[in-house]
Amino acid sequence: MNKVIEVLIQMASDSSLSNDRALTSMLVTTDLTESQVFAISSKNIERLAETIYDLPMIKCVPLMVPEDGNEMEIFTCIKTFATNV
Amino acid sequence: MSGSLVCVGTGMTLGAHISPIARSHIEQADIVFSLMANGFAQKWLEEINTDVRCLQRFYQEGKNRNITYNEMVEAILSQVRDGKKVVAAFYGHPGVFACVSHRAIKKAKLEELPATMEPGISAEDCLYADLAIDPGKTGCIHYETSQFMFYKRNIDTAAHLILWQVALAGDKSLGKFSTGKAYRQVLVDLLLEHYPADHQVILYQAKGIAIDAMREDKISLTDLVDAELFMHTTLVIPPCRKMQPNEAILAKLAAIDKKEDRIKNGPELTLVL
Ligand SMILES: C[S@@+](CC[C@H](N)C(=O)[O-])C[C@H]1O[C@@H](n2cnc3c(N)ncnc32)[C@H](O)[C@@H]1O
Repeated sequence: MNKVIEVLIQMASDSSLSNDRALTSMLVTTDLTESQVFAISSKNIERLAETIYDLPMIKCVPLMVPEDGNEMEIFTCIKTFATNV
Repeated sequence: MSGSLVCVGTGMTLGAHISPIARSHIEQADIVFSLMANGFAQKWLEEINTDVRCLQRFYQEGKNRNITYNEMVEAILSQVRDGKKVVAAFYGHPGVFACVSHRAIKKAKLEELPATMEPGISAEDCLYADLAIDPGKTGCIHYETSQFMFYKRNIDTAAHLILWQVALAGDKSLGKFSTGKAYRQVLVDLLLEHYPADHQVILYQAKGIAIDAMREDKISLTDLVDAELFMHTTLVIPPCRKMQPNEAILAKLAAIDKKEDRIKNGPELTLVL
């Protein structure tokens, strides 16, 4: 697993790491680069993201429509459209 | 082999919220379709299953989201029909303000394909913890913001009002990724029919990763028009008045209490033969 992700998961799931001193001691035991440790300690998400070359570009997206009554009709529309192509 | 679908939630904060069963479904799936809230969560997912397919590619500015969601459902179900063990992983709770999982499960069941949902920790759950709101205290009502605007809804200003997808307020086209000030002004005007202009509302954002900061910006209702809103912002409107006693119901209940007391305290009857 990517080391940064591993550390983020450890930070989110180990209650003893909620204190800054414990976090600093944990960070020195990891294989993270200096800039990654700095980004984590300074809680700089953009900087941390820049250190992972293959980090997927993901945005929070809407998952809901205000009116959700006619989804089956829309299914039919798509199918009809697809057959007409 | 027959296919199956499980929709799981991964929670809001990476590493802190996922349930053991949701994680296990993801690890054991043939294919995982995903809608995560950030790149870190997506990367984590890609490391615990080797076939993760991100659904984000279906979104397009200007494209009706109803079509986007149905395309996602089709992508998911075509793999289930092919006999694959499919997991659809969504950030938060897969069934809270998230129509894709509900549509996919409904359609799978119509086709007699096995489909279930595993809950996750949603933005709503985090909101109660982070903002110290107990929904049971005076009640709490949740609406999708545009739906709240398009339809005449009852507003109980003695309860909390929570508006989701506020960044998309008033988008009739279903194709926008954010709406501007003019749309928000309509929302504010609607709210001003019920709340005072200086009523303090909260712009809330839960943590996505451990180093994230929670957002709890308190602003006046009228300042909402110019506020910085993101896709992951939820609007929290606290009550502006006290609960009003329902005198008619209270009188009815008092009459019942009185009757019951009379029966309980009345003279004991003995059977005389
Ligand atoms: C499509 S809904 C998805 C909700 C998600 N299924 C859940 O369980 O929380 C998207 C809306 O959820 C809310 N939301 C998403 N991420 C959030 C976050 N980090 N903090 C607060 N609210 C959030 C916002 O209102 C956003 O517009």
